[in-house]
Amino acid sequence: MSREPKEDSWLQRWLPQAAGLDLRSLACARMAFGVIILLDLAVRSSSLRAHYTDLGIMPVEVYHQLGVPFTLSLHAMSGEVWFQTVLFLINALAACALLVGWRSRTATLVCWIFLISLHNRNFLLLNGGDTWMRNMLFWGIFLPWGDRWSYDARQVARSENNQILSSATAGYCLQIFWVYIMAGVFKTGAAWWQEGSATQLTLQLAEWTGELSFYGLYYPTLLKYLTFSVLVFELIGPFLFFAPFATQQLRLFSVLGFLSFHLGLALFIEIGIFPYVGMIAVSTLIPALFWNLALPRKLEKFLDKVWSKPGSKQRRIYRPKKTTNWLLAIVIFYVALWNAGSWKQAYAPAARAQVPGYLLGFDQYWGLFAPEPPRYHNWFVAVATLADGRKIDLIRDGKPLVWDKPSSSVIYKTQRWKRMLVSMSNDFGKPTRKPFLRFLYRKWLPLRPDIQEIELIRMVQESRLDFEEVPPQRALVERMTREEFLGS
Amino acid sequence: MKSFWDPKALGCFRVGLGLYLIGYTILCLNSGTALFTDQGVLPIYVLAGLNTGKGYGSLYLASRWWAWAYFLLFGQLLLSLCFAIGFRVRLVTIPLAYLLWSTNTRNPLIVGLAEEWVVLLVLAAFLLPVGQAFAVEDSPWWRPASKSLQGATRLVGLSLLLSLPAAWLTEQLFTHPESSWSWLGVAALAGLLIRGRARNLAVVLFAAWTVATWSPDPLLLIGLLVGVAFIRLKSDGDDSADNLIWIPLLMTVLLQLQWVSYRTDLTKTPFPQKILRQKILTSDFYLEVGFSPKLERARSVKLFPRLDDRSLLMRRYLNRLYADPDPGLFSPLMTFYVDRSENLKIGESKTYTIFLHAPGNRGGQFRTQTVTKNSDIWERMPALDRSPLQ
Repeated sequence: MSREPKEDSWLQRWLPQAAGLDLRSLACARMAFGVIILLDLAVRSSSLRAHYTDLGIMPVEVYHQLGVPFTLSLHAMSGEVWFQTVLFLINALAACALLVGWRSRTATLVCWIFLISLHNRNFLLLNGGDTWMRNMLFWGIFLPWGDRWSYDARQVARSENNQILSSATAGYCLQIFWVYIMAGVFKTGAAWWQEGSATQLTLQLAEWTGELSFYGLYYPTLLKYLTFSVLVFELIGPFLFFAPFATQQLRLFSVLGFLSFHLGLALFIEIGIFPYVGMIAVSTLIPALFWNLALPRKLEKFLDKVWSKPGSKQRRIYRPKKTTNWLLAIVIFYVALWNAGSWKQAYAPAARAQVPGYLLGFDQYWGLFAPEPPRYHNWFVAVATLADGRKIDLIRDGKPLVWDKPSSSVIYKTQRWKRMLVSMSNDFGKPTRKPFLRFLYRKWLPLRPDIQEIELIRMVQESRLDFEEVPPQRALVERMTREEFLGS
Repeated sequence: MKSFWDPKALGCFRVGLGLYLIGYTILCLNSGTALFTDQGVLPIYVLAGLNTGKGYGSLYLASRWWAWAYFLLFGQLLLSLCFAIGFRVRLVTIPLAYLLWSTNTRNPLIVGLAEEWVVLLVLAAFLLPVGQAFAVEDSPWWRPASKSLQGATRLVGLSLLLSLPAAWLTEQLFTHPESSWSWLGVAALAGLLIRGRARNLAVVLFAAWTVATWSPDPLLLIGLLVGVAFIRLKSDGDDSADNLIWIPLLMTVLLQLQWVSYRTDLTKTPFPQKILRQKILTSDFYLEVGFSPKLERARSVKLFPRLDDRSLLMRRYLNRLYADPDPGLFSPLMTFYVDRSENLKIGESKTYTIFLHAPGNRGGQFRTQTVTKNSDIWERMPALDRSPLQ
């Protein structure tokens, strides 16, 4: 007597779609993370001496005075240039392994450890994108993202089922959920809810303006609609990832919405890797529905060709063991608690319970442009006084000093520099000010031996919604004379 | 070619060295907070500013968290245990050597020659077949592909074992060539290279030279352990080279002749004293704490017993501080003392004069400064809504 196959319950059908991930999307995310880690390292290495060695802004001595006690950083083990270079190279090799999918999970683990270490070494450079990336990589350690289009999966027989469900996939999806939902929840200011001026204020921020920001400001009405739509989408969109009906369709819609949001961020403001990490993270949620469309099918075939055709070798897709699943479930709860705590201190884990969060890089805060974008903006001037009394600006490549606001933030070498200067001018960045001026002396004295004094000045200007120019205020951040530098 | 080494002797060397490491690590653990953490007498930011060595490359510099330092010390203890019982010796030696080096560089003020030599010995253990006897895991030692490579690795291992006494003797020969004590040491070292059982006599000479030269420094123990490694228990039938025994024997006879000639006034050259011996401050000096500005009326409190009077390493640290005072080191020492001993509230401060002196010595080291009770580490935790890591 044959037994009738039992029909799956709603929960059994819904759960893999809501908390699961598609292996093809995961493989794309793996490759993209490999690329972005390499690019990030390339950008960081352009300022390696300045940001990670004793010759720069954060000597080991200063790092150990400033850093959170419960963090680990291999990069803090030495302030020598060669040491940092070796660590960067190892990290780059691990990123290459991740890109090609060679021992993918080990490569992810190494990338994650190095990323935490690098972030801790100079935490004044970080933005939300860095936090997001290291959290995604953590979940990646437990994901089979090397099971498609990778060196590991060459000549391996493909299974028909591309959907994977585990605590790790749930954690991955929920991490993305937390980013958007918290970003929405934190936006409580009048600029978001009443005035609708948040987007305009953001585009007016001198620290983050890109080349295209200026054009955006021509359309204030459009910016107002954008403000409200961002707010609404951040509050509703994340729930669509887990919709109880038409799950795949609504998830795809939400993913496309967030992708265009990040594209807009990347085009109009200079906030480093955040929009790119966002695009990669949210693309991982692309459901099977997408891959069944004609164009993606072609892409799939193309990638199959690139990575050699699937063979007959049998290999089980990695799934975390039961114990690991339970441990990851605890991490999911912990991350939820952390986010709740960042919203209301009363829900925060106790001080001692925060230690694993800092240690493993789960610490996160998603108040992006919250409660509203600042109504003033900053730019920096490093005034060097020469022997004949002339003044030059070392931030603008030693050009004659002008106090005007720069047309865009590209005057800073990289986005990390902007972030560094903003952090430095705050109270907690105070110990880095003198090392920064010493760095400027070391860099510029061989070129301009007649420098007598360097002053770092923060220019602060109110952002007016009617675009009226308010005279900027000058605030001296730090000063160092030539004698002081030579004496040190 | 018959083996130069006796597996059982090397096994004894490994067990002995392992036990020494366990003991040393327990000593480190005993004063772990004081000597290796940021809550102790030498925080990393102070270390990074020292001229004696910034500690770069040390694993301890990866975190300011006390638990990390203890994690590393317990790791060192575990690896030492594995080394002593002979569990996966080849795998254990390299991380153990790195951990020991890290511990040394984290606090250079407590490092003596013994601590430095031990790292070389552990590295030597990687190259020599120390896991063949008295080991729980009887896996064959890694054998290099070719015999020449095998010979080369063992030669490097041998050099590492003897590197410190060889360097010491070279120094002695350059500075005190007239000393027959130096020549005895050279003879003993040369004798250790004899292939056969006659080497045992050289081992005895080496042990005697070690005791006379280094006692009571911990180098003595290490030197004796190295001697043990060279013992030959069995003859391998290749004792023809034993005629080299005349080298140490001749040297011994010469030494005795000189001693006799000096005693009988035939020569005016005195019997050489033990030279270049590391002077260890063994005096029972202690720290006193008084309140400024009137030190003479000050309440005088012995600080040393409050720190940890049973800790050999703390004693060594204070001795070094006394011998070569670095102004930057006094502040964390006072902070450590205040955090541990004084009933101040967090943030409250008091002015102290720290006064180091050795009884019998006039003068001493004085430093006056205001010390604030350290804030509770948990209070320094950033609030989640303004994490500096964002």
